[in-house]
Amino acid sequence: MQQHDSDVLVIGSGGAGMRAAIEAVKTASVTVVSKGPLGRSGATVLSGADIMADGGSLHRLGYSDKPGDSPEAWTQDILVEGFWLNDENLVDMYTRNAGACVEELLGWGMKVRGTEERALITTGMSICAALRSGLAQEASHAVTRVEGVTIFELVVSHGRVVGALGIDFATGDYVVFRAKTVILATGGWHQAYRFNAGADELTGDGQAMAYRAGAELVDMEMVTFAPNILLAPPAHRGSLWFYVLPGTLLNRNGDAFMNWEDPNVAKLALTSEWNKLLFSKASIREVREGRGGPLGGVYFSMKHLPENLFDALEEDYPGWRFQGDDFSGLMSKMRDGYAAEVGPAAEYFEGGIRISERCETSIPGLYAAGECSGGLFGANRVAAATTEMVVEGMIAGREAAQAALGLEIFPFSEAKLVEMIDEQEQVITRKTEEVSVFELRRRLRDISYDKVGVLRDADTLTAAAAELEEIRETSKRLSLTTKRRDHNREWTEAVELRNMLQCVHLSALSALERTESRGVHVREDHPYVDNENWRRHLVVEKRENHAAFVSIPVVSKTVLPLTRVPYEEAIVRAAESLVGRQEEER
Amino acid sequence: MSEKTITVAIRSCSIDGTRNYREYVVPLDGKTNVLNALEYVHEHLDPTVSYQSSCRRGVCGACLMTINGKKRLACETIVADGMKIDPLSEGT
Repeated sequence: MQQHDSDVLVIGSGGAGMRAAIEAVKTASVTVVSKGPLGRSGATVLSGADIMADGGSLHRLGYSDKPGDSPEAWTQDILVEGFWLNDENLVDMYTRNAGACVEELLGWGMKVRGTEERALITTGMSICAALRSGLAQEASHAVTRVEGVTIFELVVSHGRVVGALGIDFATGDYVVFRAKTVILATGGWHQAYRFNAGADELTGDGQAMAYRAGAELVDMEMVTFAPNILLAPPAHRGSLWFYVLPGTLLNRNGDAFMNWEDPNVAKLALTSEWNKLLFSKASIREVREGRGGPLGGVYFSMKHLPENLFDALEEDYPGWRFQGDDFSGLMSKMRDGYAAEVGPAAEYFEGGIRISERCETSIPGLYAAGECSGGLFGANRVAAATTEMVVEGMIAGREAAQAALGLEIFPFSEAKLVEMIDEQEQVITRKTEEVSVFELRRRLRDISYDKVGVLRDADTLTAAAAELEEIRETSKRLSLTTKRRDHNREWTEAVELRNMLQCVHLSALSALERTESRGVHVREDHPYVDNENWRRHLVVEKRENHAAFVSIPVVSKTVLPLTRVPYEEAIVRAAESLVGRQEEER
Repeated sequence: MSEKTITVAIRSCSIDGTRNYREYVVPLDGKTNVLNALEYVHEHLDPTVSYQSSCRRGVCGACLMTINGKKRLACETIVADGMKIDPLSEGT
């Protein structure tokens, strides 16, 4: 069995994993293991546009025209955006370190295509390239790079995480990773939803493994859906293309349904990532009320756009190319007035592994960074996830390396290894072909999207939790058609299915528990923000064989009136506060 | 689902080392790339057909393989009737 020993093991190689490796290797030996291509994997390459820091820091770097802005002012806005569910210590960590982390990326060659008051416009590809060159420049000694390995379990010994076990896709062999400390940087669980905007390997592996290892998860009910995502044709399904273009959302009657009654809300919707929550909610409402399209979406039209503005847009996207996709065929139809069916798609997970401001999880030896962690953005992320991944990556890398200093590599017990491997062996060797991974995955994806999606209520969540429980039972009898070990995609998918089921099940239970609406969590049967009872995190951990939830007060310096505010009114108030502050500063 | 179908030939190496093309009939429902076709085959026809993929948007390079003799990204190559799909190592 192949074995890699190092001070620090980093699992995942998107932005958070790469940044963690850069930091950790300054003082420790580091192994980075990734399912996909190293430094090109996960959500980072696809991330749309911006990386953020406070205006003051960006101004010092020669970019923003908002020199008076500060991390403290930005923190206040993030708390409003997060509906006051953010862990304020994490927000402080984020805003205080953002400037330095952005400066580093610039030093490593990140390209800037434009600026906003608190953001640099770049591309996910450029951020990844900068991090790869950062790793090459900063690494005083070699980082061990292991690509194409799916980690399926963390190894815990005497209450400490001491390593992980994986399967090498090319050979089908098990791979043992022993480390003094382990950093999870595995991203979200996008692939659990029928419509999602994530890369194929984003299957909640980190959250599910951390949970099974005994770590606390937090805010699992908080899931952001991005609107205007193409639902067809197959080649374009899941693309953010229409999310970045100007257009009008129509229902099947051809009526525009985004009507802004409040000017401040309209401003947020048009100028920030508040559009995700607002457009997604309105789109699903149209579909629920029978005015959607055949695929369960609504329609995106660019008919209102004059010819010359269409031409100007084409100059921004030469040949109608976005990321690597060629949209020229679709765009010539759009010019002729065609309306494309689009809908909300799972895009970002506010919840995840509970961390401290040092990116420690609740189990010794285990750290988490980036999207797989939870608590920073509360109930609604508007500020950049790209900044989250580099800030948390940097801190997790530093802390994990420091903690590794006084430790020894802990030998795995043979019995433990055999037990963990045996579970995988059962999947690959089980004879009866009664339960297929594809059938269960299709069911999971429909339940997640339809019942634990944008709009929620007790009845559908209860039904979803019961169905997911049943699928999890059934999945214990899962068997594979493909019996060979090498290049066995079905095997990887079985590992991922188990993790996705775990995440969505916890998300459904958490959503059921939270009897209010807050941010991206919209309960049709509890349409108010309940600050008296619910300005609390839902923390879950595994006890024996059940999920034990506790609610804990939000970490915050701000005392809010203990009132219940109608959900729509809470959005209007948040918009008033955010837009008001912007205008005050002018 | 549309009535239109195409046939693609996928070559895989079996455990005993022999290399054979097998033909699969794939439905077309609008613009479909080789990755979509492989997904259909893997999920509905033959789970032993295996490939790697990640971003699906032509950025990461994970799905590079040999398509009609040339190295191409499966997610950025429109699938066509009679296409031959081989492992990356077979291409030029």
